[in-house]
Amino acid sequence: MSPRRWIGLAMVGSLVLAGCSGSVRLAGAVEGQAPPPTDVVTPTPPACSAEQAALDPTRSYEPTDPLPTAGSAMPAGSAMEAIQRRGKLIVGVSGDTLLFGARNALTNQIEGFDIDMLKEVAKAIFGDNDIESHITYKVITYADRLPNLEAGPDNGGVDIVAHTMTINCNRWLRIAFSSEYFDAGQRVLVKKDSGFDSIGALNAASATVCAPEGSTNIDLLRDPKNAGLYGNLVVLAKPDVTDCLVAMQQGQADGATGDDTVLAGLKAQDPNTEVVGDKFTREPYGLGMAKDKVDFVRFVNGVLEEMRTNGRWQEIYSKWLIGVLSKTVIEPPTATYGRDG
Amino acid sequence: MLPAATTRTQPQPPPSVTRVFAQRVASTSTPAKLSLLRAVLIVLAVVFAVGGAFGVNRRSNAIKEVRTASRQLLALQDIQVRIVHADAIASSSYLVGGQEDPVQRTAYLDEIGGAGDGLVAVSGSSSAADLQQLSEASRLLGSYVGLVEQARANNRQGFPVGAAYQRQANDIVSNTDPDVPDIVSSLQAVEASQRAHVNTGLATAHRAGTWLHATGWLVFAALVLASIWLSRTFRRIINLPMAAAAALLMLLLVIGGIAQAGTMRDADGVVRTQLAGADNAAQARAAAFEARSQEALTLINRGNGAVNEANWQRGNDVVTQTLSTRSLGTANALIKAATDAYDRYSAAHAQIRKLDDAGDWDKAVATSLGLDPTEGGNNAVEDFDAFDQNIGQIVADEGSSASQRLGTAVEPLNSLRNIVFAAGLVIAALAALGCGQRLKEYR
Repeated sequence: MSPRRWIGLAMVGSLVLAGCSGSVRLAGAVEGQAPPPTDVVTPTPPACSAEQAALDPTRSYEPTDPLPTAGSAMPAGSAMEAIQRRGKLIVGVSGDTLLFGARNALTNQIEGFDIDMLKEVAKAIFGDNDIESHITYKVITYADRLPNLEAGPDNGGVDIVAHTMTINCNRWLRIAFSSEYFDAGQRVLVKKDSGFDSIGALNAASATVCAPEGSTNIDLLRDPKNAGLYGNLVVLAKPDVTDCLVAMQQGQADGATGDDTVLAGLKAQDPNTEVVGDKFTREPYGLGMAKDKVDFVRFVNGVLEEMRTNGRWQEIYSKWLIGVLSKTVIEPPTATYGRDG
Repeated sequence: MLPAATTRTQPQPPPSVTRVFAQRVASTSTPAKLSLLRAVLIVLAVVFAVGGAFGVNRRSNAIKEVRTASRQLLALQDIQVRIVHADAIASSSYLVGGQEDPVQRTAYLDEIGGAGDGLVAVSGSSSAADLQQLSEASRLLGSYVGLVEQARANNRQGFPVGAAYQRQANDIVSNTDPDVPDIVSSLQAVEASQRAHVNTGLATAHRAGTWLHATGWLVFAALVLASIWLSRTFRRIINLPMAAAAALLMLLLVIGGIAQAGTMRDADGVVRTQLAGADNAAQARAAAFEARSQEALTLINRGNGAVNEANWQRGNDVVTQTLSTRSLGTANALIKAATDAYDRYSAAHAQIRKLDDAGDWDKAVATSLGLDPTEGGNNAVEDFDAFDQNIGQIVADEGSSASQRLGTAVEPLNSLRNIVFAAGLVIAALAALGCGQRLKEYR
């Protein structure tokens, strides 16, 4: 081999040996994967025909009369018997609607008017003893209320929903409602001294108004038929009603619209706000149940009927809402029945 | 009549530059050739002195850059861990409401303070692009602290709006929407940039070795060829100064090669083992704290934490992937202890979810807060803390070892750089002397 080749070989060899090439690299960040989401097909919500819409939506099924003795064996094959066998009534509630369904930070318990309504239903099934041990609370958003009832307790859903839910015709096509247990109405929450005194004033100023996604409140603002009344509003949708209060406190919204019941809870959390204007809708509340559980709806109607007559409803009202929604106790809304089923 | 025939002369191509040079050299006298050879050898030796020293210096600087980037990377990960740890504390504290543990509150404040100080420290030596991300992280950290205080103040008064603030605060730390900025994403972008600096620094260090050897072997070839020419022209077997120059150069290339190879072997080893170990362990630690935060949020959302549970699974996936497939350094006992503790915590989490999904929220919370042991007798808080301590020890040990070893690795290069420069000048002098001896014979 010629000296040139020797030198060439030695040169290449020394470059390699002296570490002039290398493949060590610091690997990139580890990417975590969540399990793939299950494919959820969201069907277009059904809408009532004009004929259906003309009927009174608060009409529910006739109440069970007499009710089985609380804590005794429920009728064989009934929805109540299945719940009693399970030992738990699985309920869907709000976790942040102060006064109706909210977590108490000191006790960590969910409490409010809606929660007490559910406790009465649970007592009617299980008896008075240690009722909390017979209730499983599932905190759900507004938009999750109907899907949880449609899924049912065996598929991760719930038996019953008490979540400031308005009875209306379109919802009757997907679930069943108890008789009306509270008569609410939509109003508007604004910052004190903002100058806005109604939803109309906000609309005239093209203000931004927040409402929870999946609520009748936001449906009303978005309905093209109401464009003349609310068409100028900039609608800000949030998952929950307390997110609307945050949006107001952070200056993202000029006001929040919701039921007077819900807004009273928001106002209690922020003294710099006020509820203004008259009720501009009627929002009759019902307890939601699965569409095919007519026996359970009748049973719950029987419980509500008892509460109307034995003063329990008024007691619960006094506990949560006197001084907030009215100065004295009011009478519960009258139930209407007559729905076929 | 036919036109008269004409003859054409074909133009000759101009001679090449090398041919012209070779012809001129061939027609030059031997003393002139010697002078030319001496000048060429001196120039080449000086090029070797300067180029070789430059190459060694460049390798040394590149490894120092690797060290700086690795320290910056570990500092950023420390900030990230502090913030996600603080968030895990804030989320868990929300669960206990008014009975907030003062020790936990102090730990939260320490972590936020440490993260703030850390952001200031790393910003001092960052590029413009990194600085933009760090400024964003600082801005978001300020918002985060404000939201947590709002959540805490509302929670202590029993106002459920606190949960909305807590959710918003958690989204500021990290969220899965690419259009919504969050602190972890900003920090991870700068961490990725520092990993790229480590990798380019290491590649530059590798390539820089070429300077010494390319210039060295060029001079060596020139010395050998010059010696052959001198030997043939002057019928002498050996020219001592030239041979000494070649021997010195060969010795330098061998010793320099060994020293440089040692340095690169050390640097590669540190990046592959200690730095990768610290980097991976820090990623696992941060992901575990994020998962712990999400666990608290699933409970805050009581029975409806599907989104938060998916986020827990994502964080858990980072931890388990890292523990099972990535290098975590050489401290096998710590690695095993961390892995075992995390497995126990992960089992506890599965039980927490089972309890919450079955409606036993109070027991799920008590288990998550470590107040109740799991069915297997484990404790979610103790197991998580054991994981954190072991993985944190790995980050600290491997990170400190990486920094110290990268600092030591470059030390031989500083001496080598000076030796190469001096040796290059000596080789130039010897080559000049070798040629000068033959020139004297013409005087």
